Formats: sequence, structure tokens, C-alpha cells
Amino acid sequence: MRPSFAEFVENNEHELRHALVSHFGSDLGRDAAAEALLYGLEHWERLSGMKNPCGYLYRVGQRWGGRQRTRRVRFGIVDSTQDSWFEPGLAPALESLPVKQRVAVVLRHGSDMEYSDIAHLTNSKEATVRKNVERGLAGLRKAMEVGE
Amino acid sequence: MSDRIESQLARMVEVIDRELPPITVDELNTIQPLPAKNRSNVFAMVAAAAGTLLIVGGVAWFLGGGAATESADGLEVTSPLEFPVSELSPFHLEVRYQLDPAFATGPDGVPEDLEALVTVSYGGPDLLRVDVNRSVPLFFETGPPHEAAGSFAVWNHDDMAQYYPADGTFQLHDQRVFSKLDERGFSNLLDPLMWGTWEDLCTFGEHEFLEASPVAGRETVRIRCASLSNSYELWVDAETGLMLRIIGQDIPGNLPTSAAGFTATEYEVLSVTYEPEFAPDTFSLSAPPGATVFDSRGVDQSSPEILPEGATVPVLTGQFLDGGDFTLADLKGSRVAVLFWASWCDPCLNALGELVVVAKERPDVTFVIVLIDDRPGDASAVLAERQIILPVVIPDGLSRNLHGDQWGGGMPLLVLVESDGTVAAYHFVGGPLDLFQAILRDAGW
Repeated sequence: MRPSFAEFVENNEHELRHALVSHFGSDLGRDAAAEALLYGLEHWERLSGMKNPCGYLYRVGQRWGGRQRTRRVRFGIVDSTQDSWFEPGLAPALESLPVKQRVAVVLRHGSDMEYSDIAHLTNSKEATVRKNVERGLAGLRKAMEVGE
Repeated sequence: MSDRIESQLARMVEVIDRELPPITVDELNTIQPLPAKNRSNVFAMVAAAAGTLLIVGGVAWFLGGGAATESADGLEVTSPLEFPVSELSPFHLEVRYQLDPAFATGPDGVPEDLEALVTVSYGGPDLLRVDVNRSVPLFFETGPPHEAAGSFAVWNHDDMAQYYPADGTFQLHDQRVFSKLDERGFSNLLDPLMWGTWEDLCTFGEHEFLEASPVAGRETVRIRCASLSNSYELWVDAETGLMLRIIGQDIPGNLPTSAAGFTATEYEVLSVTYEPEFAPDTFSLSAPPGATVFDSRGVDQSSPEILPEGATVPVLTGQFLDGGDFTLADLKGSRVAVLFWASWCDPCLNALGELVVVAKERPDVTFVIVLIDDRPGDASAVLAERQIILPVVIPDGLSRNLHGDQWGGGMPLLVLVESDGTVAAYHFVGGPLDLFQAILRDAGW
């Protein structure tokens, strides 16, 4: 039985938004996710029959974001309370990573997604995701000048 | 640093979640499109290079319309909407392009350094044809060859074809050939998505509405988009939303090649006909008489299954053009960028120049050009003319267009080979320089 769009959003909005935010940065990424989901809402009858509607909508969001002339990826995060403190250099370090590494490392360690789920969402091989996560972490360590 | 990066990533995402709340169905429902009859669309056609120079590879669909309000200057301001191609009326355009190579901020993917006249025929969903009527270099007579008059491209539902009169080839592809370009920010020709408002047509910088006048006999809305370094004006058919004119301006001194600044009408519709009568074969994929047909349909040219990232590259051996044996495996330990290329392949000629620029920027990467079904003399002449000093290899046993080979089909093909002999990236190229740069960057090189 095909899920309703509301069920789809309930189960997938989180990872779709995180994927596009890690792809484009926080501001443009959320907009891209909203645009992708809006497309999903209007085309749900067709999309609900797909094997991987979330992956499709990830592509939709990528296309939308890619057309914006603002190519600069920014994580414009100002909140850094004691409970959620993170190194100020983390956001610029992330911004400097290649997009595939950035998406992989954020989804794996930021969103706690399984490698297989990331591979499914991004339509890539699990081994590739693992490689990108490893390289992404290495890139972050290098950019932030920390060791293993 | 007091704790691990992995933990910090988790906390950063927590903050993002807090600052960027989840998207709900209720939120989505607040954005409701108007009925189609109230919509106006903007068709911004930009020529892109999807294996061709001037054949349209990028069509950006914009939509004006929606929950209209009045802006301060009385022009309609709209809400974001989606515009499906299926609701676009057929049209026929005559368009003139004029593009300065220095104007790097023109429409994405537009071929530079040329003036060209093309006709565009849109026959409804998935039916589009672009004919090049005239194409001349603007500045550099010895620059990349431009699409010759008489070339054309036709998109017909699931397939497309390109005809190159220079070598008489008629190439049939399925549409996946172009998907890789789209991933890099190119508009996909048949993608039904674009969102926007009149203001959103300015996708960077500030916008302002200017006094407009008719273009091609049509009333227009004129919007100027500006940033610190450049600007462009969009003249949009006020009734249908079709893009009728794009004027680009580069601020003096912004680029080394534009010390005096640059202003050009990059794109101008000379005539437009809505709901035209098309000849019956306008969107046919049949080859012109005498053409040599290459049919790559059914070959999954963009699928990672051909050579997915992480796969071990096939054996590649041959002889260097200037003598000596070549074995790709001997380069293990180095990152190698392999460009499958031929002097007879028009898109390849364009790609070559860009590759050389990237090769100069990246001395840490070994660049190798592999000739496909090319005569060494022809290749040598082209390479010498362009002062190409990269290693060139005549491979053992690779056929024209690579079809049926382990490397997959289609050209120009760029394969990035990791130092351990695995595939880091696999892309059909032929677009602008930033495409090459993006491929390397996205591969983490």
C-alpha cells in the first residue's frame, strides 16, 4: 500500500532536509528541501509509486538549489549555547569540503544515518559513502587542525 | 580540541534543527499554485554545452504568477510556484546570441566568444528542436571551433539527436547523457521544475524594475539584477513569461580581460510565434541524407554502473603519440585524469581547451589524453595548433565512441583515476571550464 504524502513527510522530511542543508548550507538548503517537498506534494500520485521517492526529491532539491546563482555554501548558525556548543571552525571547515564529502559526513555523524540509508538517498554505493565520510572527516580534521 | 568532530557534527545538526524547523505539510499547503490559465511563465533559454557548443542544453523554466500582490512600483509580485512543462504552449523563436569570453557571469553554460543565430522550436512536452543558422567567432579566429551553421539538436521524448555538419555525424542519445551536467547546476532541458517570482528571476544580488519597451513586438517586464561586480537585465514577455532579451554587464576591471567593462545583449529574441504550425518532421530523429549515424541509445552513459566510483579501472594500454608504450597501471600511486578524446569530435575540441587550463592549475594530477579512432596526423595537427603539451596516447583496442568497451560510451569522457587505481569520477564533459573544475573538486581532488 502506498504511503500518504503526510506519512512520507513524517518519515523522510528529516533526512531530506539534512541532506540538502548539508549540500547547500543552512539557508538555501532548507529552501531547497521545501521546494522539493512542495514538488512532492503536487506530484505525489506519481512519486508514491517510485522505489525511492526521497532520493528523487533529493535530486529535485539539488536541481533547484543548483540553479540559484548563489553558489556559496554557508552554515549561518549563530546559536551555540552550552548544551549545543561546537567549535566555531566547524562550519567554515564544512563549507570548504567537496559537496559529496560534506553531505556524507553530515548525514553519517550529524544526522546519525546508516551508510546504507545515505547511499539509498544519494543514489550511490555504500562503499562510496564510506569513502566520502572518511575523506570528509579527514578534511575537517585538517581544516580544523586537529588529530585523530 | 576537547572532543571529537563526530560529536560536534551531531550538536551542529541539533542547532540547525532548532534554527531551521522541520518542514510540515501544513507549511507546504500555504503555498498553493493558481490555476494554469492564470499562470505566466518565463522561458529563459540559454545555450549550454552538453556535448555540443551551441545546441541548447540548458533551459531554465521560471514562473511568475501566483498569489499576486502589488509591489511599490505597481508591478506584480508573486509567490513561488511550480510550472509544469506540460502546460507550456508551443512556440517558435529566432534568437541571436552574442557572448564575450570575459563575461563569465552570463547565463550558465552559454558558449562564449561567438555570435550566433538559432531557431528554437518547442512543440509541447519533450519536443524541442534547436537549429544553428549562423555562428561566427567574435574575437578569436583561432579559438575553439563553433557550432557550424546547419547543425541541429532535436529532443523527442526519451531520446535526442545531434547533427554536426563539420564531420557529417548524426548522434543519437538517450537523455541520460545530460544528467551529469544538470548535477552541476546546469538547467536540464526537460526538467519541468523552476520556481520563482518576478523578483526571483534575480538569483543573486539586488533587483529593480525598469521602464520596459516591446521586444519582438511583445510587451515586456524589464528587471535588472545587480551585484557588486556584474549585472544583467531580463526582458520578459509580460503576457507569457517568455524570456525575450538578456543584457549582461561586467563592471570595468572586474575581470582581467574586461578592463574596460563589457555590456552586451547576450540573448535576444528577434521574432516569436506562439502556437505555430510546425512541419511534420520538425521533431523527427531521422538523420540527414548522407550522415554517418552513431546510435548510443540504450547505452546507459550516465549510469554509475558503467564505471562507478570506487570501481577498479579497466586495463588501458597504448602508445604515446610521440613514442613509447603507455600503461595506465604504471601510473598507480598518482592521481590521473584521463580524457577520451578525438579531433573529429566537435565537443571534444571544446573540452580540450578547458582541460588544458585545468591541467595548468593542477600540477599534482597527471592528465592524459586518449585518442579514440583518430588519425595521429589529425590529432597532432590540432594539438600542435593549440600548443597542447599533455601526454597523448593511441590506445590499444578502443573503438569509436568507446561503445561496447569497458570504459562505456560517449565522448568527450573524463575519468578521474585515484592513486589506488579506482575510479574517483566519471563524467561526460564539454561544458565550460568551471565544469571541469567542479568535477575535480567534487571528487575531493
